[in-house]
Amino acid sequence: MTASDSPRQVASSFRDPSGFLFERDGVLLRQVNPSYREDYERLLSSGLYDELATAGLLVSHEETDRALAADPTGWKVIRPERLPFISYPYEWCFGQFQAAALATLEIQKRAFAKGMVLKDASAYNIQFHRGRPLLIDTLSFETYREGKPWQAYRQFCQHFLAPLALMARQDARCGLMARLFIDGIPLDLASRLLGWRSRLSPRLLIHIHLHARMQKSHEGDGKTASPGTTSRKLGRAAFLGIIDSLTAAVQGLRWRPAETEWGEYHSFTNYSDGAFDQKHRLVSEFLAEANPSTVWDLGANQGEFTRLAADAGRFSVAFDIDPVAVEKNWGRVQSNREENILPLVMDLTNPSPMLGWANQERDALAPRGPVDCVMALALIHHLSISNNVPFSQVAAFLASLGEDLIVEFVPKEDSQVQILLSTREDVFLDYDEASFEREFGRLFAILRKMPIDESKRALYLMRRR
Amino acid sequence: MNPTILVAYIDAGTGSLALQFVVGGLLGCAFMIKVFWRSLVSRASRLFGRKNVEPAEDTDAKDGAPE
Repeated sequence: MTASDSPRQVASSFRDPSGFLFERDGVLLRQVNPSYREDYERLLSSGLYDELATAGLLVSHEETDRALAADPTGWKVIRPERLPFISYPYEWCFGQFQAAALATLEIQKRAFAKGMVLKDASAYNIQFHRGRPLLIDTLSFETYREGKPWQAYRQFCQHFLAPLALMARQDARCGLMARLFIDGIPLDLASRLLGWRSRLSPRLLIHIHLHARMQKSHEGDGKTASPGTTSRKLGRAAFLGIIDSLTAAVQGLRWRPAETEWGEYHSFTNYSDGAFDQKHRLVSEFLAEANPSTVWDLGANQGEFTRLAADAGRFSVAFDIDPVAVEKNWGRVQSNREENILPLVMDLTNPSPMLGWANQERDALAPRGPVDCVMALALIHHLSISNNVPFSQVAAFLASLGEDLIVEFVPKEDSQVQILLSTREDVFLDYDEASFEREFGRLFAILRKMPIDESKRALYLMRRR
Repeated sequence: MNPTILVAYIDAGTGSLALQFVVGGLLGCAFMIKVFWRSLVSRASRLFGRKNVEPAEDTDAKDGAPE
């Protein structure tokens, strides 16, 4: 590979002076700056990189030609394994958040044993790859300096412990707060929202409530002389004690979801067994015909149909609005050790936007595509009737995401649609199969259409024009 | 590049650093007692021939008394 194309820096990779990610000729590369040389060499020579990469905790990479560096100051260029999809903490269910937090602490423990520590603990540095949490920032390590406290303690509590505690003790939807507070939930806010009962937990008392109070009492320190913390030393046992306490705090949080409508999917579908089996067969058939490498299943619930794609070796993301359904899907991924499926929480009527610095740091949903094939099964009526989105706009949205589309049309006569209409006036005069085909037909070529037996529904395979 | 900037490119927060000094001793002691206790239990279990005793590191990961 030669440096033929001009490099394009990844928008989220600008904070750490140790280096940054960039793309050249469509290949993802990471420049390591001279200032990080000592730590990088220690990461490799200590065996920490090999240990973590082998354990599937740190993204693997290979060193490549330094001439590919994005700028002449680059000391080294590495090519990390590229992941098929980047997800964000505000899209994770409780179990994923917890797994990401525990992976971060496990990495910290292993690093400490090799004389290094994590210099940051951003939840955005963790991705889910092959069904497991993975640290994707190779430059997150620094040499442990005797007596120095953990620089990333505050960040860990804001990025992981606070949202987890709020999800477990207040409401699982609190995970969405990560979308508002992109550098983690402020601890004073978390402390207030958690309420007094959480103070009965010694670990939450220390790491959230007392932590918030200490931040408050030291907030003026920058205006005066050193607060006296820089000259003090934190012993190794104390350092490990803090990590151990954080681990126990995270492990001790449990979320027992109450059943929601979508958490009990099968109780709320109106398929006969025969129709359900036929839908399975048709989806498999359409997938085989489209033959995608990547699939996004929108409104996937617990991933029943996503698995038709994933089990055939296609990397599949299963989006659903319901954190209970996503939690159950994640549970299946864990218990079956599934590697090709990534469940995520996503409200399709308000999907993840561009966020962060200059609105470029975290991608919206569509820029993370395009995907080879979108599946939208039993979804259209929720978008068009529950959310009043015209077919033309639904079609445009789906066309913006991917090439092929497997979509199910659910007519007004269907009992599920009737339930949606039972509490509101039917203002959807154009909601019929002919309008659906006309509007979708403007953007997609309809390749296949099959009615689903014992129902009035139909399944389509379409290809973007 | 100034190394002090490099090692602390995120804001650690003086309150967060101070808290580690305040609680570090206590949590460090608790951690040492836990490690010692597990090691003791592990040895005792081996001594009395109990099967399937998990090593201390593994049991550590399964700790997690509910908050």
